[in-house]
Amino acid sequence: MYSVELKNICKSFGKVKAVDNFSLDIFDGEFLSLLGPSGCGKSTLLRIISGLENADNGAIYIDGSDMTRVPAHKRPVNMVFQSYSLFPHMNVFDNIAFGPRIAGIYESTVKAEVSRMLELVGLEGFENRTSEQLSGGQKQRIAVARALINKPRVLLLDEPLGALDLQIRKQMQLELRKIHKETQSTFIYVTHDQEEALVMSDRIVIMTNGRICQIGSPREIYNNPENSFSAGFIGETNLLNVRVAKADKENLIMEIGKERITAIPGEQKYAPGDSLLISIRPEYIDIYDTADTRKHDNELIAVVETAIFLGPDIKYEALVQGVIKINIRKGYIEGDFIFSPGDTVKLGWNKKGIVLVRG
Amino acid sequence: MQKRNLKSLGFLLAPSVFYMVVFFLAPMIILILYSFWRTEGFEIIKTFSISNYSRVLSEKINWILIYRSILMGLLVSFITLLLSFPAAYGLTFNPRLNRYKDYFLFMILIAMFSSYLIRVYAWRTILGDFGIINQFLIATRIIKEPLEFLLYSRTAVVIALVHILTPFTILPVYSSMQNINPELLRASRDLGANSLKTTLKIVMPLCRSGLISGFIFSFILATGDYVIPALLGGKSGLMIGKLISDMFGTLYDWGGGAALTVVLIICLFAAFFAVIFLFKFFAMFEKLGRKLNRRDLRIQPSKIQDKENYKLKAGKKIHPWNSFLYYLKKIPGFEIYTIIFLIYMFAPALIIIFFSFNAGRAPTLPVTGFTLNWYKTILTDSNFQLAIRNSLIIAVLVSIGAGIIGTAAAFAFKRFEFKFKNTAHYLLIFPITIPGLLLGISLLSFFVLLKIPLNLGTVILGHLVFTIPFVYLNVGASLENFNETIEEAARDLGANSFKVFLKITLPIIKSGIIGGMLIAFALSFDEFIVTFFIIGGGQNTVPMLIFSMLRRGIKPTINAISSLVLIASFIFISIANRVTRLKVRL
Repeated sequence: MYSVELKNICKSFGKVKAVDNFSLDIFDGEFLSLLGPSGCGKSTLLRIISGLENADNGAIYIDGSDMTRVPAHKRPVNMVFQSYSLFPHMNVFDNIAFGPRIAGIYESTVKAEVSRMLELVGLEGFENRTSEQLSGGQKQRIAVARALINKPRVLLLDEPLGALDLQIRKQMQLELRKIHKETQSTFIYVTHDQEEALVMSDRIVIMTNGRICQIGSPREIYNNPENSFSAGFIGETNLLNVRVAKADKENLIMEIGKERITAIPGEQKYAPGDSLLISIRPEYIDIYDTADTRKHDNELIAVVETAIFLGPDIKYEALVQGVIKINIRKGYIEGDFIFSPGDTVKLGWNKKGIVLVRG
Repeated sequence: MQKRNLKSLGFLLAPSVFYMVVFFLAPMIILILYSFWRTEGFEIIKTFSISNYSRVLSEKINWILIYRSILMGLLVSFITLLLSFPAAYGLTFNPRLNRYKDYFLFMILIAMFSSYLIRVYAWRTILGDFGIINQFLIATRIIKEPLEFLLYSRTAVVIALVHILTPFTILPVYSSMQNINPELLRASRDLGANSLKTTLKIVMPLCRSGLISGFIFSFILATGDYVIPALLGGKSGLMIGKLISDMFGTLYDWGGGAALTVVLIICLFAAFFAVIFLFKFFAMFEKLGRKLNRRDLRIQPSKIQDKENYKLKAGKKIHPWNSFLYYLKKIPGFEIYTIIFLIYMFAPALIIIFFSFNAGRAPTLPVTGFTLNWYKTILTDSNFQLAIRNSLIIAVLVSIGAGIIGTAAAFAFKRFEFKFKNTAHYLLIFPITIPGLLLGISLLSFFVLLKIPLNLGTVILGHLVFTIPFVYLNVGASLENFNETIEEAARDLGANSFKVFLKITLPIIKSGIIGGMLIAFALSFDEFIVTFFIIGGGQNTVPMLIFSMLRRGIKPTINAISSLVLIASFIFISIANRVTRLKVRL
């Protein structure tokens, strides 16, 4: 059985279609991320699942029962808000106890549950603090605890780490993942940060303009983007428009300007003359001196435009034939040689590293 | 530098603080002094005695009136809060209404500042035997005889007091609600609370300060009001304010009046703290209830342990309702409510304007024809001309005075830190919360004691007491968004302090000052109660003229005068709102 089924959900705000005929089935217990740029409708979709917004059209099933017209406060889902939304006039204990108390739960049970939750999020002893006395990361954990204490069938997280700084965000990512494992409920996670989605999710849904762009596991999405949008959105990449020159079983040879690029053909058949989009990740490209004798399936001569020191990596931008811009990322160890702008270099990569993008 | 700063602080702050000490605090103290001085015939004997108190306290009627006034005050403030809360809620959280909030707030300001006396008079025409309500009910054959309990009764007093005071409660409630993040309401719903529980547990605690100040406002002003009971209350609607005003007027018992006022104030405080205590008690009770746990009978603790969602269970139980509730929510309840609310606020004034064109002599249905005669009559009436001249002189001088003193005070508070800043702030805004009656009788006692002859000058001094706070608040609000680095930039570019003020500061906050002055003008032009006590014999202002016309039986010209005043104040507030987004924070 699916945990959440979305069937043809539509939602417009005025003339803007926020969610456009969206259908998706979400498995029980999975960690699903809705990933997309701001304004792609991912938060609206989350609010529709929670019941805080009503869909114009379509139906929502949670655990198999129709929830389309059930108001938010009666749905078996809970949300972790981006701004935490802790009640400022209550302390930590009262915030977490809010849901069970509304439900009319025996107070001693509430007490036990609250301390269990505080233990789960690692904030034992914080019961009497007010939200002013908490750091951003602590507020976030309280917000998670406040939602989880209701034992929701689905936990909705709306960019919950967006307001935290990088260090705490990374830590919280792992922590949320741990909490997901422990509770085994379905998590639906909205984010615009592709790295976050990659780290945490079982499945990622890439959204644009209120529609699904691609669904898949992080590895599938990263390594086999189905279209230029997913390819561009997930991670940095080089997208090149090429034309097929020759195709056989082993090799697909393509032309870009005067250069030739060789890739492994997928299941699809290509005929010479077809135009095609390929993606090459910057970290798959090797950059070296023209006199070097290293061998790669593909080798291009290029001129370095910029070289940026990023700490663990050096990021190069190089121009092939003076027009085709290629990004390269090379691991850096202190003492390594760094090319300077204007240097003529060789770029090389293996045909395995090329992804053929449909559409 | 330090010394110069101190000098300019004194220069800015002294006028307002000095003014409030002399014309607000001192009169209050003198009023208390009077309560210990005996009145014999028309002489006041300045020796300490508590005979006034023993006399006032032994009169049973005083206790009955105080008791009744406080009950009425509680009832009225409860109703105003009840009316204000949904309107403020809709404006803040309902997305469809939220778009029109600027218009709505403007209308609230109009309702707040348009003539009090005239709107009270309007209720008389609406509720009377030949008033619109009775005539309508008779015409539609719902009743045969006019409903007599409508006018000259407590009902009439409550209806009119609520009508007058609701704008004063809606503003603080609304502005405290503005600080609530709407996401909190969604979080509460998401956690299983329905709208009612969300309102009780999230919205109301978070706008508590606004609710309390709205309550204080309407409670004090309702309990201390005397014009409405005098004009609409009849015998059963008589309240303590009317008696106090008579003791300072026709009965000439100043000592007794002052003593009664002091007793009333003490009772008000007692009532107020009783209400606060009651709420605290309820809150305590709730916590106690939680500890006692009557709920364990309904839900067994063991059941919680299984992996069942609390909300899902509730959802399944009420399932047939969900579709119904879903469609119920589509009814624009807040919009309908807001429209009814606005009708209640504005219908009386519109009815008066409507009747001012009626050819018949009485403001009753049916209308007999259209005429401009009443306007012609009053515009040529010498009494009216004199009154309007006086009113204009007073209002112009008051708005200029309040403009200067209030602006200086606002600057002092924005630019300087000093000791007792909070105390000084409350001293400056306190006069807004004081009923006109109290201000009137204390100023009267003050002027008479110092043998200052009562004339238009004393009226101006009196009006300044309650107009300075409004200018101070309005200019203060516009200074709040003022970026002081602009001034530093101007200084850096070579302007001296005077030029900086003239070329940079003044143009930016000009609108705030003008807005405050226009409010001061409108308030002063409309003021009746304070004027009534300190104007002295032989002089008249427009509100005084209207009041005396009301006392002497209604002439048809009163509708025309009232309409002119209403339209004038409408124009003034509109201009004020145009030049500055008026900000009255109460």
